[in-house]
Amino acid sequence: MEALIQLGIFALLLGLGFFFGRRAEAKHYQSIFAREDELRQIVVSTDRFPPIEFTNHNAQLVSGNVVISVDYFKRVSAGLRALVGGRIRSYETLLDRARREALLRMQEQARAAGADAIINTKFETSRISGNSNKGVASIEVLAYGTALSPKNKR
Amino acid sequence: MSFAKQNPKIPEGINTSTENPLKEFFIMFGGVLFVLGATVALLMLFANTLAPYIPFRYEQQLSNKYAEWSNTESDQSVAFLDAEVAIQELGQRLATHSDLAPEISVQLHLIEQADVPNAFATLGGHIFVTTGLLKEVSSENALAMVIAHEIAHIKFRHPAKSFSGGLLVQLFLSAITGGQNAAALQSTAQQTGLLTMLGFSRQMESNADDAALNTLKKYYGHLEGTEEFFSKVLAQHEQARWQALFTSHPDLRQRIDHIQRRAQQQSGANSGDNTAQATTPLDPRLANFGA
Repeated sequence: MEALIQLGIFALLLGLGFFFGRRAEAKHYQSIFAREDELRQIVVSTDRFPPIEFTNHNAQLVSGNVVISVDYFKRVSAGLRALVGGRIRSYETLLDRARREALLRMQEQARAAGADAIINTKFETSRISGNSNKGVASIEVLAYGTALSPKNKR
Repeated sequence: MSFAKQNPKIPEGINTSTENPLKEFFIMFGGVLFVLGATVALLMLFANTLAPYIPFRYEQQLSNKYAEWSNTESDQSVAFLDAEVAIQELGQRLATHSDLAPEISVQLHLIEQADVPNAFATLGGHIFVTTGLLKEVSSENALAMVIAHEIAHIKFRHPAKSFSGGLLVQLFLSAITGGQNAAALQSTAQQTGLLTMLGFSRQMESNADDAALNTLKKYYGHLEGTEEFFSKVLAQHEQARWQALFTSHPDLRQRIDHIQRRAQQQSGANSGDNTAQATTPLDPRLANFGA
């Protein structure tokens, strides 16, 4: 009986994780697509030096970071993957969302600073998992770069 | 090369896949379950085949504490102690008719549980009978059937099979889950070693039923009254069908039918002297205790 209850709790958590995780993911992607269109004018590049047309601009550090958590379903799915090997697809979408969200936040900061472009963009990730492997892992993605804004606003 | 005027639109589906994660999940889950199940089945087969070769005295050494435990409970009433002696005598008489291997011996214990009619066999040839069972039976034959059934479990080394099988499976599971189940393994070993009823398979129960009937046939010369306890239990509980699927004891009705069939065959075989087939009354020490 006890085993049945544990199995039920497991299935419930799995179902909740799947349902809410999937819904959150779909909503998040919608919002990412919309904001990427909106911020398309703020060019993000990985060039280390400003292009010739930006040499007269002000430079300023901008960054965007996001912390994102794994849901139960993804975690179990990844745990199974750990046994058999292969692409952990459920984590791929999660990290894709995190990176794009971090870029968008950086772009928003650049827009607030009146910048036209961001150069030298870099990513950092770090894992926040408490003090043991048992907690649900969450990761931080940080995007940072140099925003270039015109000196004389007209 | 000039600097881009705006960010390009990245095509979707390169870094991620749009495949439903449930599909992937179920394929992996099913595969892993299948492999686990196959390994567990293999381990159980391994244990069932090899456990009978474990010397019986190892089992006895493991379970010596039961005897001490039973003896130290000195605050029992005289009637209880008398009943326990009577049970032990009956058990020993049945054991001599059970074709036990020479090194195997059985020890019977009575436990004070008036509301649970039950009996079970565990490691080291120890058989436990609850006081509730004594109240349920009206003749010695019915009680003897239950005891002979448990003696048959000991005879076929079922406790050793199921204990070593369970332990192997736990060991395997804790090995693949990276030792997180070490505590569970310990508690299982303790529980199984203690007075928990060992789970026997349906096949084991049927075998024990058959062997018990053979024993009773030798001991009493007939099979009258053997199904009484089981029919009473059936009448009391009216097991639901779905429940029978999950319990290791085969559907009680099937068992009773089987016992009755054997009893009829038996009475057909020596129809000449029907008069001899009377049930033996319960030992007064047991009968008085139940009242």
